[in-house]
Amino acid sequence: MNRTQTLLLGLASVLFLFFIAVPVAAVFLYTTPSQLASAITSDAVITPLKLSFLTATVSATLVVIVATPLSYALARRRFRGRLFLDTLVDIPMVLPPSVAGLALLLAFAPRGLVGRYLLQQGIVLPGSLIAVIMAEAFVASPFYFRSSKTAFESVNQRILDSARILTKSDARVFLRVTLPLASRGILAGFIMCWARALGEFGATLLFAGNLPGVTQTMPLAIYIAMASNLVAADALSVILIVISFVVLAAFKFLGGWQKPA
Amino acid sequence: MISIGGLCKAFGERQVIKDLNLEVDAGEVVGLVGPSGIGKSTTLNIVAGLMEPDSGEVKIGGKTVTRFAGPGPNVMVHPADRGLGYVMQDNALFPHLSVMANVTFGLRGLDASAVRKRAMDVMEMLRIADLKGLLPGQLSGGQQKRVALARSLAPEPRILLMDEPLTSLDQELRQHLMGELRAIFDRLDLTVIYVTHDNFEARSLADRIAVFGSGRISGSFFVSH
Repeated sequence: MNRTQTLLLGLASVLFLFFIAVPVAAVFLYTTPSQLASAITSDAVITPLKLSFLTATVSATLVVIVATPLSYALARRRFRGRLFLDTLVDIPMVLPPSVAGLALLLAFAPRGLVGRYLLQQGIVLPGSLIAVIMAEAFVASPFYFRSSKTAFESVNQRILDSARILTKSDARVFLRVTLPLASRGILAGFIMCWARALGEFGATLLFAGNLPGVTQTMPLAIYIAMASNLVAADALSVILIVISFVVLAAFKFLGGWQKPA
Repeated sequence: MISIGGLCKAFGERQVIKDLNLEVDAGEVVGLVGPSGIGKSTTLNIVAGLMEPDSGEVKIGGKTVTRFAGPGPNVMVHPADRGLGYVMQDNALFPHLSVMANVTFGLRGLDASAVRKRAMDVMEMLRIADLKGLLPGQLSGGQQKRVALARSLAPEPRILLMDEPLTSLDQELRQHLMGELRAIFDRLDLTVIYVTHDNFEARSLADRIAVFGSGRISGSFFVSH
């Protein structure tokens, strides 16, 4: 590679880093540290922050509980319709958030496909905390699913064969061998799912609404605060950026979506 | 003790096993010898119940444990119900479990003290008792091989399947382990199918050599020790 080529490649890299780093820096530089400190302790920040942590944690945990069996089955079993299911569970990852929100409304709003039956039981989901959790779980679930499926796929078949020679119990093989060997990928998936749930905006707005103290999560609070309290919006943004960085670093440390050699 | 009849197995277009027949008597050590990659391991996997054949039958102790495309319904007894141990070429130890936990993994239906005693007996026989708290990744190749053997022997199987168990070890260690293995086979009166591509290894360990070629047993002869 000659000097001109090196220079051009270096210039492209600097431009790219500039494009990513400048907006991030702008968020950190907008407020003074003292303004930031006082904003972070205000109710306008604390309330949506608590709600976001609660809903992201509950939704990511529920995703782990509900999605793990299918992720394991798709990773280790061959059956008809496998590719269809594998694609179906990825859909929320590529849907525009507005479509995800609309889909949830059409399914679970009082006149929706399932919502009409829930209404007969006196259950109305939109506008509730449960709706926030559902919206976050819907949008964030593929992030857990991909990671855990890759983790299950990467468990050495010979090791599982050894276990099957020694015990007839599939549950014992799963709990004592498969699950521990896939645990890093499962944890990485949980972290990514949690982070995605924490940043969820569009589907939550459409399905759960924007009720302060009830359904107003951090991204919604940022959107609202931008009109009236930019310092609070900036404080929430700083928190989200710091969390995102820590989460991504943790994800990479745990091996991410890469299959071990 | 082990009877394999009319075994066939293909992977796609490639017919790996073609009408393989083999009888192994109780207490006999048979060396299944042939070049690498021609179906010896596949044969062991079918005997172990880890793989289905396309057709053929495997009997252990007179009982059909695998039968495909034969008279009556297909039979596939679970690997853990075949009364056999299996030492794989790469050991396939549980990397997250201690040596002790590896060895006790297959010991069920015993109380804790009996499990511990059985495991300690086997580990002492294989001289790995002092390694019981270590993880497989902390062991040498030879030590890992001993742990794999201990794990297979702990449930007291009547049959032991071994797939190229000494391949990855250095020459000196192989020589040493060969002597130990033969003594263990005799002491426990095991019926063994020992897969190897190494004629010398097979002759040193086996009572009988079965030569694997073109997907079947092309000949067999007894070894005088």
